[in-house]
Amino acid sequence: MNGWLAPGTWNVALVGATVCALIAVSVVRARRGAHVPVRSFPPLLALDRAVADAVAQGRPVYFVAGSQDLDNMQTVAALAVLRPLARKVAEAGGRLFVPTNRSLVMDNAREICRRAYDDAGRGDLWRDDWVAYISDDHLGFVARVDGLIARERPGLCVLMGFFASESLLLAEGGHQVGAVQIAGTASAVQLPFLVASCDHVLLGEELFAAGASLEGDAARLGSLRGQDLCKLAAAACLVAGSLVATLADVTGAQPWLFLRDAFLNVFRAG
Amino acid sequence: MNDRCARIASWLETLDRRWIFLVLAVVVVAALLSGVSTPDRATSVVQPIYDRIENLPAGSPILLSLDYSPSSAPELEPMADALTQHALLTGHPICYMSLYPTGNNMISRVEERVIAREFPQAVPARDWVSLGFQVGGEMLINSLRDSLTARYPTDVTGRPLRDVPALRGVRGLGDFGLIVSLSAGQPGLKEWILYAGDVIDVPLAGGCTGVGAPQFFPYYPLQILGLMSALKGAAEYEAALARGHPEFKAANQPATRGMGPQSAAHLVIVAFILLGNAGLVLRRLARRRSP
Amino acid sequence: MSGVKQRVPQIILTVVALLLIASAFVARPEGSGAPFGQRLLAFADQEFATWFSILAVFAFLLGGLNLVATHLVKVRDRGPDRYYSLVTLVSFLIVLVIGTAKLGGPPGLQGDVTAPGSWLTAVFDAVLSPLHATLYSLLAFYIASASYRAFRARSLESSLLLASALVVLLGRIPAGRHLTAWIPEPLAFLRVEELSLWILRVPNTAGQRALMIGIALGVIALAVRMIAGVEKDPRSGGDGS
Repeated sequence: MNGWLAPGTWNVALVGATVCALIAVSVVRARRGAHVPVRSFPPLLALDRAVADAVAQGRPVYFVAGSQDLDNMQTVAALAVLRPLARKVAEAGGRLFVPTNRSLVMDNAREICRRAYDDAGRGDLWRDDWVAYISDDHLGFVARVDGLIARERPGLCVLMGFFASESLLLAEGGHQVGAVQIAGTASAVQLPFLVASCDHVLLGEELFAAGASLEGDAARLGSLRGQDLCKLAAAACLVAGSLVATLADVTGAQPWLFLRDAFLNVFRAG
Repeated sequence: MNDRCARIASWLETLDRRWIFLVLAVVVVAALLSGVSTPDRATSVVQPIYDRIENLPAGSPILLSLDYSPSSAPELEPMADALTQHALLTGHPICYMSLYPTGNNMISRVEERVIAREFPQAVPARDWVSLGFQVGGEMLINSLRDSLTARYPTDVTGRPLRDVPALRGVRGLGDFGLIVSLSAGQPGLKEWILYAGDVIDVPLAGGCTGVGAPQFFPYYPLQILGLMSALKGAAEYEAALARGHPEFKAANQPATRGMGPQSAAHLVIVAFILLGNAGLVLRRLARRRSP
Repeated sequence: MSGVKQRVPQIILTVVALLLIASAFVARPEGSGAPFGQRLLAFADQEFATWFSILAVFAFLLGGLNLVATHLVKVRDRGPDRYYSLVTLVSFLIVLVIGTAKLGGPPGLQGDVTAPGSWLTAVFDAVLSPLHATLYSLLAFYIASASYRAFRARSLESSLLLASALVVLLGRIPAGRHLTAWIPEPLAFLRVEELSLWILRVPNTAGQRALMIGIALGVIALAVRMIAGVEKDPRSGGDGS
């Protein structure tokens, strides 16, 4: 191992390996049948009703998978929500429009929607131009989508994935035509805008949990449990570390100083 | 009285948003035309950036990454201008680069607006160099850690980096005296922190839009030594620069000038928020008093 | 999806991901006598970034072709938005020709297409920059109307949100500083600019860190599932085929 491990990375490797192991073990246990209870997400509970209302009013459903490419995990998480949504819209006999600003996302989204409509037995309804590439430029993209929203007046706008400044422009555009808006993003910066302008919002990691919750896939549910275990471990380390650091500073005793240095060594950045 | 409260509350609740747009536009335009502005002072979050540049050893190069597009230029360009002026006033060569495709144009604008006009005696390649944009985002930062020439064999004019006096002694990112990322999104300051600052412990500072500021405060002060956020951050830096260097031309303080209209806009928004809550109070009063 | 169509991309994903993860933890090779494994990982770390950039260029091509195809169909079929499509196509072609031919700038493969005086720079400065600024400036108006709707003291939590918003709105302008400049020095922490900085540095930082930890774990979990091949491809059918 000497000479192989890059200096200063052993602690990142240790923490990373622990996190991955917890998640992997949880996934394996879930796939073997362990029950994983997941709380309900109000934005997802509202989805069925919102789709039904939009289709009943003869209004299309819009889905925007964020403004980044497939290499962004939030886009992958958004596409995991698109499949069950497309199926719901197909079963209701509605029209789903998915504007994208990356060509690879467009390709994937088109195949997802086509399969979902076929699986729902409504392959006759589906048209490939319901998934369209608009522009790589995020502001050009939002200008076009807002124009389409103003003209087509969708009944439901679902905004999932990574957003930059276009989140508020999209959300206000949807609000203006009276659409129900369900959003979800792990971009902490854009959460306040979506919370202020949308009806329901998935916060942070709830976006990653959304696909698991909608489809009930064992592997995804297992990894949700793994994430929760890691969060518990992180919280425990925070409390323990704060306590140890306080005791080390107050008492100056050697055992506490040693423990404090150990915590700092394991959790230092880089 | 009840009816009146209810009517006013109803009017406030259903206020057409175009009235808000109109009042905001009128107030901001009036503030812009009147030229009103209030001088500012650097807070404890911005001052360390200024102090770092002031205390760098003579001739230490500074890397300035302009990671934004024209939409964020109003907030971030004043920061780029002020940092450029500060670096040139204190004799530190600047190396420009960008993680954004529109970065080359952003760099050109700083060169034309600040260097060509305020520092005509500055010599390209000696006092500043532009490496321009390269695709890759965090992968680019990763590659540049050990060697700039891994992805930038030449600067934008085609000159090999080994022949650039401004980069003498600079092999990788760790050889800069300071790295500043002016960031509007992704890739940006966060990637600089994760892939450069945290890994090779190089002094790193940042500038960001107002929207992005909350996500960067957790990194201050351990991973970034300072943070300029939004036009206010730029105005604070200009204030520090004007106080420390009287030769910094008072006319060229776009951020300080912009704080007038910004103050007006904030006050209008506060007024409308209070108005909206007044409507809420009136509605509750009307309900309580109704038979 | 057929076995080969599923398995080959999965193998590529797993191998590339594991190589890149390992390269972050393995020391850089020193000299030509370094072990093969170290040299392979250093190669992966350096070169894959370039390969991804090349892939991204092909993705641009794919998007461009789709853009042209979509809008040509709209123009041909005389759809309701055909004039917008015509503008899109004409603009696309003009900028494509200007950029490819490097009109107005230094010619040749090494010529800088964004050099001062080039037509592409002129289009950028005269068209794209103002359009970006215009759209971005809409945000100021939209946030005003969204704030008017959202910041109401309906409950304890929303009242706290309202109070924080007012403090930060006033604390981030020089005029706000003057509002509370009268507060004496021992109570300076109550001045609006100090309060706003405290809100950003303490409660906001706590919330952001909690969100960041959760989001990072979500990203890691998704990555582990994708690398291990247990993440269901959303393009697959309901039966997983």
